Amino acid sequence: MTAYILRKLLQSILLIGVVLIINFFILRLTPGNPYDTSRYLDLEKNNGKALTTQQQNDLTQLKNRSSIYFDPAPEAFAQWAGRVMRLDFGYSVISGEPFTPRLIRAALNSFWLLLFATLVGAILGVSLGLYAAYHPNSWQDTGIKFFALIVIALPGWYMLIAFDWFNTQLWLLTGKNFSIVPIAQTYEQSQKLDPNLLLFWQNFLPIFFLGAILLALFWGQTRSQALAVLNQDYVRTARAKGLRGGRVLLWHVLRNSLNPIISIFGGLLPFVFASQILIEKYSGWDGLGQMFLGAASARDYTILMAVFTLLVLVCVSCSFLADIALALIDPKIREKYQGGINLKIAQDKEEAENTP
Amino acid sequence: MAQVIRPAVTTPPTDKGQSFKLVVFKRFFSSKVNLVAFVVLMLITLISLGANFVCGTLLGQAYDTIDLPLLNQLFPQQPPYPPGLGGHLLGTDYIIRDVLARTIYGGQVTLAVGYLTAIIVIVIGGGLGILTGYVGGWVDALIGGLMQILVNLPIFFLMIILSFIVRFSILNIALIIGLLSWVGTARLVRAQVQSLRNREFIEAARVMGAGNLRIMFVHLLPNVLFSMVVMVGFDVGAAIVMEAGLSVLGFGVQIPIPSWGNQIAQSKSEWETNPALWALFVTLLSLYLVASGLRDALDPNSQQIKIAKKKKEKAL
Repeated sequence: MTAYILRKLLQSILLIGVVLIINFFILRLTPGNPYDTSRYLDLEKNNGKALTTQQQNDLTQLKNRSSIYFDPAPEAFAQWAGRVMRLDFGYSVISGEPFTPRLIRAALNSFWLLLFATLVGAILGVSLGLYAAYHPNSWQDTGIKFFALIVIALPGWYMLIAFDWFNTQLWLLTGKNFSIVPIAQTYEQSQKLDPNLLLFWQNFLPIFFLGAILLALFWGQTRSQALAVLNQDYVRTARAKGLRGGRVLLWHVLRNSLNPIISIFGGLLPFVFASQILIEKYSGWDGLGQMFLGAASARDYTILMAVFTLLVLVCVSCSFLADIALALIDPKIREKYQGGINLKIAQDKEEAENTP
Repeated sequence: MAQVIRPAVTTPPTDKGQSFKLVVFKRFFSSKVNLVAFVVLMLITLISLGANFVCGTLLGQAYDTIDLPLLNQLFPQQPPYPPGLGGHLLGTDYIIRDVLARTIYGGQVTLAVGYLTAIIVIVIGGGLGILTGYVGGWVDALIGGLMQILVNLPIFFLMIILSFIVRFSILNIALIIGLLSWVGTARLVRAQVQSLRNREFIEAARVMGAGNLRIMFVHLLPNVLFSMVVMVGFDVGAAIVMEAGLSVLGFGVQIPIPSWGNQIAQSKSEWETNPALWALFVTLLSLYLVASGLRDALDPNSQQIKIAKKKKEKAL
């Protein structure tokens, strides 16, 4: 097991390095840099006169700050990576201020959004799935099935926009709505509401729409697995031995139905991030997505690289954890590596003999 | 998109005297939902392909993706026409471009992304999957490493960065999205081929003197084709969602070319947003229904078939 974990860990570190290098060189390919832009703007402002000493000083400072654009690419990457290793993401190229505190705040905000979305998705999905498995083909089951179909087919940000559209229609018809951002005419009405309730609702909507796809996933897996497991002998034995329904559900049914979800969740994260950036934009959630978008429109390399690094770290470490969890659950994967490296080499030889 | 990676599908038992393909075909079209979804998808494809004919001849609206700055100089901004006024069935936007025509032309972007992704996923994903699964060894290690990189890459963010370098048009956005999204299929195919390659029928083929290429494409490919097609459906859905998301943020297809994402993001009146939203909804839903219908038709244990069998028994 230790050999397996070490092997996966080394692979993950290598993977992070390769992905970051690829991204860095793509960023270096982009045209334009802040030094040229502000020099051009200054010249335009002076109406053809030469630059003043103040302006020249500012420009030199800017050039020093944006060395990531001008150094030879390998050197720039090495310097950047060295600083990141010391957890210092450096200065924002555009504003010239250190942005690490802002990055941490944004990352925490995004992390809460993702965490609560996962929790909402997991808890609601698993409980609805178990309910559906106990009452198959009831109208509740059909209703959840329809909801899950729409949620899987459409992304979370689309649901948020569609929800807004639905609100407008409702407001046109009845004068009431459930919007996050109060529609202009109903602002006074929203003032009358309990502020805590409003805060809860404003936070709940993005969380729910981000977690909806996870909800559908958990629902589907739990339902099908629980349906397959419920009539098995060991569940009946557990019931006959006098175990309570809840314990049978949690310990015997649920544990056996969660294996595939772990492997799916690791691969799903990049898609969830893509949905999250749009949801953050449309709900005004001050997270990594907003920061990335702001930096993208200003072409701020350092912020772009920092956000990208964090995301890659999260993705890779999640798939690493998923691999470990799968090995803990699945004895087949564990046994393959249990004999240490020697056994692996022997297996590889055997495999090589078998291959044509 | 939820990509449910299923364990290797063993060939399901076929009904007596019929080929597996025919059985799947019959099962797929026996469900009315599948039929409707398929027809809707084909209709959307036809309308987008014949956009010039539909807009120019039937609706009387010429191709109107006009250069935006030039147009703003010529005409000052004016209030848009509401639906039904002046021959515009769904109204116009603020520089008097027909919303219906723009929606129909916008479908071209979405469908180009969809179909090109499908082709690339089948060719590259299927090809590399079969190759790595069958050959193994250092080829598997090398291409497996590439797959690992692509799986863990936040592709959406990479696309935003790529949009600084490349000015996205219909063709190159479709190509790039397709080239980034073949990994799921390749991994599925690889796993299936790995479980198939030591079976007796492959050994028999080798004894008969078949070369590696022949074994890969004549004996292995038909066995993984159907599950591959299902996976392609979900990949295409993810690709379409990604293109729409990019266009909504303004990093996708650039302004004079209409796309549904552009329309959602830049519209200022409500009748401008609705057609794009509904078009996206219908396309994605029908695509997902077709894909999951295919999955059910391939799966011998799915509920639909059980229900159909029960109906048959009752009828008998």
